[in-house]
Amino acid sequence: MIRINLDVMMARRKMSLTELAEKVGLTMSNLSVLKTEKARAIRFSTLESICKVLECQPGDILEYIPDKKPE
Amino acid sequence: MKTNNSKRILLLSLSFFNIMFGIFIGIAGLSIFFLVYDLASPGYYYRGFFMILSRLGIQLTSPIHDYYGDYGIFASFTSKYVTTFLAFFYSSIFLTAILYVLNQIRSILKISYSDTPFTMKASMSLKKIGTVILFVPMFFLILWFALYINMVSKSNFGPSFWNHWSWAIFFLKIALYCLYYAILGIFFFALGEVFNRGHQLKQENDLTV
Repeated sequence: MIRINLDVMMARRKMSLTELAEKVGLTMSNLSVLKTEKARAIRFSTLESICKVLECQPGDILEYIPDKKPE
Repeated sequence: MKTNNSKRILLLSLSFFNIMFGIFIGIAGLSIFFLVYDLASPGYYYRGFFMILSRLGIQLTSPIHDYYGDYGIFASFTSKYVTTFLAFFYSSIFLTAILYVLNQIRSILKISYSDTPFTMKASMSLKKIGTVILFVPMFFLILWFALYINMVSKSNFGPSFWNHWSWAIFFLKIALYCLYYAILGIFFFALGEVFNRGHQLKQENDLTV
């Protein structure tokens, strides 16, 4: 699965969700969908904007976690 | 502006549909009942589509005829009673199916003009229409096939010119007739699947940030 570390990056940059939404140009609900990992897909343009505002790399926001195999 | 126009079209089409629906149900109900009643009456045993009805009528009433005599008052009364019952029974199957399909079309019409046409409800409605269109002719096809087997197995039944080959061709004709409904049913079913995929795509699109 892909984990979204948006809240971690926001905490590091001391930025609120409202502020980030305003700077990125996304709605609060869309950003909330992304933060709570309910999103099915993310556009490159959105990722670019988030990286630009938070001054980070896509890898800082997205993290791959392998699924646990059932024993 | 576009939404207003859509709403206007929806209201107009729904009211038109409701009027047509009422007229259709009234006329269809009466005509199907009288047609079935007429054709299921004695004297019309070998007339095309409604023969199965009269055949069932004969089978149901023949013991009564034997017991009370062919021209007994009670026998004729019972025969009429059974015929009326059959007429009601088959008309109700036809009408229920028609009513159900029309109701589903009405809901489809309503959804199509709304802001979100690709919904699960629309998909389910289309699939229900497809199922009814598939199943109703199948029901009659089974009845016809039962009649065909009955005719082939009983050589002493029916007019002499109706030999086995005639019955085979006759049954084939009915099967081809039912094929049209099968294709129509599959078409509605496929359309339902299209709406289902549309709904899934829309959901995916909504969750893309």
